[in-house]
Amino acid sequence: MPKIKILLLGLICSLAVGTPALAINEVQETAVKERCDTIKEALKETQKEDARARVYLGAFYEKILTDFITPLNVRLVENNLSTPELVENQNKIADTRTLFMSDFVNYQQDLEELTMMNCREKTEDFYNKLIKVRQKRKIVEQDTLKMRNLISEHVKLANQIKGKL
Amino acid sequence: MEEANGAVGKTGPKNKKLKRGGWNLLVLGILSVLVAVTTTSVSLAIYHNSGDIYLDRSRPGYLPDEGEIEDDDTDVEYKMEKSGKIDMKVLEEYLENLDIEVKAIDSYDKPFGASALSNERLGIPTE
Repeated sequence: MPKIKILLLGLICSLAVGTPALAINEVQETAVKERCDTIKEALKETQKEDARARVYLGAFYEKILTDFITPLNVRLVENNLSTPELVENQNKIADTRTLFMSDFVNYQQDLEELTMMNCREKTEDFYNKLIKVRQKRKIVEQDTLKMRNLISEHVKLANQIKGKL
Repeated sequence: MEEANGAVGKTGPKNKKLKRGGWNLLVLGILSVLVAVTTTSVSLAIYHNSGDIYLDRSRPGYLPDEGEIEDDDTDVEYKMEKSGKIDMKVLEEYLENLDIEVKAIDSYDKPFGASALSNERLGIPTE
């Protein structure tokens, strides 16, 4: 009896793992097939907009880190005013900046693969890939939000030091 | 006849040398092209696989728009000095200038927002 239970459980598990989730319905499939070229054009346009956003934000992150936060911390150490929170915040900003770049590259690689897929013949695969690309885009968006919060945290900490002077 | 044979005897090796030189030049040319093609292919593969291609806006189709190019000569950009005394005035100036950069970041409307790849934008029915 336990053997049968184990076999049944194994069968259910293998079915659950082996069967791909049907993310696309018939109406959507037809729409993707019909609008294949238009969708690809929109994806390519998004690629360009994203490159613009990456350069714009990346330049400001770089500037804030190298022209503001790092020299301020060095100067604060020299004046014996540095706090561990400020140094930790600087490290987090540097790490998030690196993560933002690598997550962006990761997302762009998948987006490019998506633009090269055949959405007329492999519609379901295309749609599943689109869902995956959306998730990777979300990660990049979260990196930008995290970066913004860390910068706000730095401003707060710098204001605290100003209050002590 | 002997003269003729002698002439052949003299020009024969010369012709051979010339032919050999031409052949060597051809081989050198082909090898140079092969080396150039191989190194270029490897460079492009590294450029693509490392992801640098996605960070590079100098590639065709990704060049910055005219409006994006800032005139760097007009503004004197603030930079915090790494050494010196820190007083209230220094920190106030620092925070004022940092605020300008923060506002510029905030002016970018929802970077990497979900709407760009949404079903609505791509014209795919939601249900």
